[in-house]
Parts: sequence; C-alpha cells; structure tokens
Amino acid sequence: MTSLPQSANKSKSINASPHKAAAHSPINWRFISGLAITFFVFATIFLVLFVIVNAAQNLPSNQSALSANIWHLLRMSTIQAALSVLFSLIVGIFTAVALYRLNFRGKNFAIALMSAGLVLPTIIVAFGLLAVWGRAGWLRTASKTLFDQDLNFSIFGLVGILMAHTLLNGSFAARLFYDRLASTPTTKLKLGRSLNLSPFARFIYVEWPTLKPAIPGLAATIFLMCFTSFALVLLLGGGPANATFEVAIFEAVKLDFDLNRAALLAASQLLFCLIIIVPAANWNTKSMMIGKPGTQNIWPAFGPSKWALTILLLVVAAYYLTPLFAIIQKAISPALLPYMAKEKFLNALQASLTIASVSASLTLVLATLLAVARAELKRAEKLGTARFPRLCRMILGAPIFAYMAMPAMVLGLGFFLITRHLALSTQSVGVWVLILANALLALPLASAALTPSFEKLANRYGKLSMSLNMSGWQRFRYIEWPLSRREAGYVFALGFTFSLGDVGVIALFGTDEFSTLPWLMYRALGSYRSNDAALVAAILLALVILSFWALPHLFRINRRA
Amino acid sequence: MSFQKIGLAALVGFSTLVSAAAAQDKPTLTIYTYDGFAAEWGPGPQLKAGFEENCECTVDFVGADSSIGALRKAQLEGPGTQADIILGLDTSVAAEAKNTELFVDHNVDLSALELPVDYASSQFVPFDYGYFAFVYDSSKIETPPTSFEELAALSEEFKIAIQDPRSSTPGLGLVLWMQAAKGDQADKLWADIAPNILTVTKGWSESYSLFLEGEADMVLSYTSSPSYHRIAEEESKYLAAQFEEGHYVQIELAGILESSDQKQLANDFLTYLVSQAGQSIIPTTNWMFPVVPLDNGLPEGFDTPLPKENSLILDDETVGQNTKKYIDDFFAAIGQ
Repeated sequence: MTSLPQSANKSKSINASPHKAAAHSPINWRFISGLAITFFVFATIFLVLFVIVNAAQNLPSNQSALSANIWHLLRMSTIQAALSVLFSLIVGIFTAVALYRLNFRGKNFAIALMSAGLVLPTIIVAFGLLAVWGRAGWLRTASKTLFDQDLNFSIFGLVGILMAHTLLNGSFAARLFYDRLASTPTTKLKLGRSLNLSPFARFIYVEWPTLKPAIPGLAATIFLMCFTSFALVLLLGGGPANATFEVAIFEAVKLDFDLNRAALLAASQLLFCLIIIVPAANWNTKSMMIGKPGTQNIWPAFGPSKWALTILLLVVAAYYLTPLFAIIQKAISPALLPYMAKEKFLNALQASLTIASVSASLTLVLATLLAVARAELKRAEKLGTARFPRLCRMILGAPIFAYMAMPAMVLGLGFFLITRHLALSTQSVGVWVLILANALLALPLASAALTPSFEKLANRYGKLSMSLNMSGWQRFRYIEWPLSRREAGYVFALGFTFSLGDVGVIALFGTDEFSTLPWLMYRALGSYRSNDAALVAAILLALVILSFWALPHLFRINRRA
Repeated sequence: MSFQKIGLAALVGFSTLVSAAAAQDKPTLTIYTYDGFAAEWGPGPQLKAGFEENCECTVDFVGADSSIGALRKAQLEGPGTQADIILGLDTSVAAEAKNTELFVDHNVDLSALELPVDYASSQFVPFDYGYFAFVYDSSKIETPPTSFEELAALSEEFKIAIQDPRSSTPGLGLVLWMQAAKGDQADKLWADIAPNILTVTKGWSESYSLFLEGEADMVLSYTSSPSYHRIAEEESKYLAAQFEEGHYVQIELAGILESSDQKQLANDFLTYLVSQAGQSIIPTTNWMFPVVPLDNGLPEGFDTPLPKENSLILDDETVGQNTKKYIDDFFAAIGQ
C-alpha cells in the first residue's frame, strides 16, 4: 500500500494538466481499459474460431448433418434456460428478503454457503440431489419406512434439470440480491420503520426498487449458465431430447472430426446467446443507495411475517443443504485421511490451489477494469457528457457474456491449435490456458457482482468527484476501491472457487503428470472408483465453502492500512 | 498483491519441474491413450516399468479424455506429433482410424493370439477384449432379462441406464450389439425398450454411478465389471445378465503412427504388450480379457470368456459405413 503523502503527491502531478480535460470526456484511460478488454475477449474468440476453420480446410465436412435437429436443440435449450431463470429469480428474491429481514446467529456462514453449489462440478451437485430426491434417495426411503408410502415421482427429465438449476442459480441470485438489500441506507430503513410499513409495503417501496436493477444482468448470466450447462442436462435429462449444443459439437469434433461443423455450431450458439444477452447487457443501475452493509438488520421482521419468513428460509435451506450434506456424508469413512495423504492427491491439490489463485486474481483485475469503464460511462451520463451511452454500455457488456457462450470443447480445441501454431509445447502451455479460460469463464458472475457497485458509486459521487476535480485514479483509490472491497472479496472468492471446480478446456492438453482435483474425481469415476470420487467431491465442497468464508476476509484486513 | 506473486512463483516452479523430467538422453516412446489406461491404477505404469527393464528407453504414457480423443489429438498435431503409438482404439472406430491414413503396418507376431472372434488387421494389434453386457444387482433383481425381447417386455418400472453412442464407447457398442443380434428387428425392439431407459448419459462413468447409487436397475457395461467388484471390493452381488443372443465383443487395439521416428521401438513395445508378461498385467488393471491364454490362468474370481458361439461382432467395414445410420435409427426409435 502506498503511504498517504506519496499518493497525494502523485495525484497533484496528475491533476496538473491535460487529465483535467480527460476527466470530463468518456474517452479516457478508464474507459479505454474496458474497451481493451472487450477487444481482447472478442479477438480471442475470433482467433479460436478462425484457427479451427483454418485447420478444417483439409478435412471433409458434412454441413447437411446440421439438420433440423439444431432447431430442436435450440428450442429445448431456450425453454429449459428460460424456466430456470424464472424459478431461480423467484427463489433468489424471496430467500434474499427472508435472509435480510431476519436476524440470527451464523448468518455470515449461511451467506458464505450460498454460492458453494454454483461453482462445484455439476456432476457432484447432481449426485447430491439424487441422494436426496432419487429413487434410492433419502426422501423416498424415509417415506417408505415411515409411512409405508412409495412416492412415485422421477427426478429425471426436465423436472430434474430445473430442480438442479434452481438450486444452483437460485442460491447465487439470493446471494447477490442479499448484497443489494444489505446496502440499503440506515436512514431509509429508519424512515420505513417509523412509517410502520406493512411487510408487503416494505417489499414494494423499499426492497423491490433495490432489487429490480440487478435483475436483467443476473437473468442474462443465469440464462447463459443454464443454456450451456450440459453435464447436468445429460445426467438428469433423461435422454437426448433434452440435449444441448455441446453434444452436437462433441459429435462433430470427436466422432466425425468435422471441425467446420464444430466451428459453425459454436458460432451459432454464440450468436444466439448474444441476441438474447445484448439487450440485457444494457442494464442500467438506477439505484442511488449507498449504505454500510451490516449483517444484522436494524429493522427485523416481527410477528406473523417473521414466522412466515423463517419457515420460508428453513424450507429453502433444507432444499439447498440436504444435497450438500449427502455429498459430505458419503465421504465420511476411515479411507478419508489416508487418501488425503497420498502424493497424487496432494499434487492435484497444489495444482488446483495455484491455478485457482492466479485465475481468481486475473478475474478480479478483468472484472474491475470492466466495472471501472462502466462507472466512467455512468459518470459521463450523470454529467451529461456521454456520447452513445447505450451503445457503449452494450459494447462493454457483451464480452462479459460472450466467452461463456462458447462451448468449452471448442475453446479447448482453438487454444490447442493456437499453441501448435505458435510452436509451443502443448504440455507446458496447458496450465496457462486453463488459467485464462477459468478467469474468463468466471467473468460473467464476477461482473454481475462487481459492476452494480461501481455504477452506483459513479451515480452517487459523479458530481462530487468532479467538483473536487478528482482524477480517475483518485476516484478508484479513494472512492471505488474502498467502498467495493466487500464485492471485490466476493469476486475473488468466486473466481477462485470457479477455477477449483472447472474441468472444461484442459482435456486436450492433459497429461498424467498434471492433474487437478476435479480431474482426479473424474478419473476415479471412470475406473469404478466411486469411493475415491466421493472423497474428492467432499473435499472440493469443503474447500469451496472455506474459500467463500475465508477469502473475502483477506480484502477487509487491510482496510485501514 | 503478494498472493498473486506466490501463485506465479509456484506455477513457474511447477512448469520447470515438468519439463526437466522430460529431458533425458535415452529415446522416448510416447504413447497416447485414454486416461484410465495411463492412470496409476491402470495398466500403464506396470507396462512402462516392465518394458523399460530391457529397452534402454523411456516410455511416456499421455492420457487423453478418451481413446478417440487421443486419436484426434495426434491428428491435430499432424506429422509433428510426439506420439509413436495410439493405444486403446476399439473395433468400432477402427475403420475410421484406418481412414485417417495416420497408421503404418506393424510387424508384431500375432500367431499366439486367441480371440473370441476372427479379427485381422495389418495396422492394429489387438491387446485385450471384453463383452458388452448389462450389469445388475442380484440382491435386488432375482430374474434379470435374458434377451433383448425380455428386456423390451419388462414393465416401465424397470429402469436401465445407457450411454450416448455419439460420445461413449459402450453406448456405441450397445447400438452395434443390437444390430448384430437383431438386425431388422432392432428399431422395433428399441421402441419397446424406450420406456425402460432411465437416462442416456454422456459417458460410462455417469451411468455406472447412477446404477451403483440405486437409481437404475441395470446398466450397460462389460461382462468383466462384476469381476472388479469381486476381486477389488470383495462384493459378489453384482452380476452380468447373460443374453441368449450373445454379447458384442469389444477388442481394444494399438497402432503405430506413420510419423513416428521410433518405429522399431514401437514394434518392440507392442510385441511386449501381447507377450505373457504384458498380458498378465491386463486383467486386474484394465478389467478386460487378455488376448493370449495366460500360463497361470486368469486371476481367481475373474470371469471366464464366453464361448465362441456367443460372441458377436460386425466387421470393421460394415461398422465404418453404417455407424451414422445405426445411431440415427437408434435415436429415432427411442423417440428422441
């Protein structure tokens, strides 16, 4: 950390001349850094598609295999993703409100838990869910033994997919919504309390206006997660009727080695996602609220609404926690400790943690730069100097999602080919590709968590900072960073855990010498060793929860440094 | 942030370590295979140790996500690939592999091999085989189906987990099995079996896990799967349902790449692979049958191979030409 006199000095010299003018125009370094990232992300995607098409030149291609089937895929994926978004948002809003209005012990831990499911490999969550809701699951077993009643429902099919997606994304939505509610200014709460607003009126006049601006961005993120989530869909989907693009691409790459078709499929998925996403990426934060997030609410719910909310929260908690418990429970055995002492495990753990730290740092940097650019735009709008604000917002918003709409297999393939073109050893570059890919993959979630805070601050302090003649760096140093630390900590944890759980792009680069925890798990699963897989799954879950709980603290310790 | 620095330092250290290990004077034989073969519990490490005793060389197994993934990797790398051998392709993709023109004829003596079906190829060396079969839990199911007709006639309550033929070897094996056993009746039978299909997973491991968790009554796997549970876990309740029309044979193959600069060494390795020493490693690491009769016989608790008349296979060419159609028909018939 720079000491105060030094930074004051620096800012003086920065203020001296041309930058003063720059601060008034949206075209300045803060804005340009965001544009640079946009350019970088799209260039990467373009390059990936280009090298694949290029490599495909000497290979036979069968475009007719792109049959009517694709429209079916598109329709099914869209319906599934749209329903998932709907349920996730509803669950997310109610959970956040309940969590916000109720004061209880262990609230911090509950909040830390809430993002855990989202970043685990989906196969772990799916099996956790099956352990509770499946044919041999707890629910049906309990009902059979207690009431001698066989619950005759199947989790396979669209229902299972929606249940799983709601569980994963609903808790993530709740986490973000809660954050927004938690920064409601105390004055507003006191006013509401003194007006004696009913629980319903409170929602309409106090909470809903806070939550609403976050919805488009969040909905877009969840939509993409669900549209592209394939492992879960394939496991719980009941059959290829609910398949996604990923299978079609798998077929093109692996079975037919038709790289043209793979690139075309990837491009159409990207295009389709962008059509849906771009309008949403245009979301605008209208909220003016800045408050100190505290965990204990000064206006807690009371009376019947307290009971109703408590019951609601308990139901959600039971739904969310039982699959996680199931994962842990399966791993509790005498084999756990000896397994953790194995060299293979320790190596994989080390590799996973290293990759996760680096890619989380990268995620944070990228997300911060994008958020800064968005804040700049917001400020320019506030000051009335913005040119084409909608277009700019769209340009800055699109890259956040673009990467996510790219199938992992196509990215892996593209990176692999680029590595070959650059005559680099695929084995040594693999780690860096994994880091970059993980960082970009976590970017949508990271931005959804960070950008609103920066825009809010620009909205609030835009005019003040201009009257104080603060430079872009000063605004970051004294306003944005200190007031967004909490979100930054969460973004880092998100990036970290996302990377911990990911397996996607590295398959082509893989060697036996290099392994991460999810890999270890998939390997064990593929060799009858489901017990080992259960151990790794539980360890991953524990690590993820620990990260969400511990990592944000790193960002608060230095607050007064 | 210092956190990042630590990460970077560790990472740089890690990658130098990896590259240092690779640099050695002896020639290196690089074998691309599927992950399970190269894994610590797979045949890879023992074969490596056994062959390195006499070869004055280093064997390097590189595991890809699947055997077809290993082939595609070599294909993408082109003539510059480090791979000398692709190991683990099976008879259902042999025609496709041959068409890539990446492989060169081997000179391994295969006269001692005893396979359940006739298989001849100048480019590929068979090194183990197995039979696709449905595996069930005998403590829950007393009378498993003994044919595709019986399976089709079962009530909807009875659920099987199978794999997608486009992404999984056993999944494709099942489609070929039905074709080899039933031919023209295949579509009708698939339509009747459709209600019994719990889910079609991307890979073998997902559906096998569903079965072990009790979600499915039967899972498509291998006749040797129960052997694993008997020998490695001392659990004898899992059995393979014997189908009267016979079982489809999967033969795993290895081939030498045209681009290899270690062709002699590669031939030596394949010779070792099908020798007594190499083959005795296979049963309890890869859970498949050895291609030569072992001097000491199969390990205790290991299933015996099926009689020849119960072994089904379609020849490489038929498979190569019709796979696409078989797969489309399969999906059409199960109503997807």
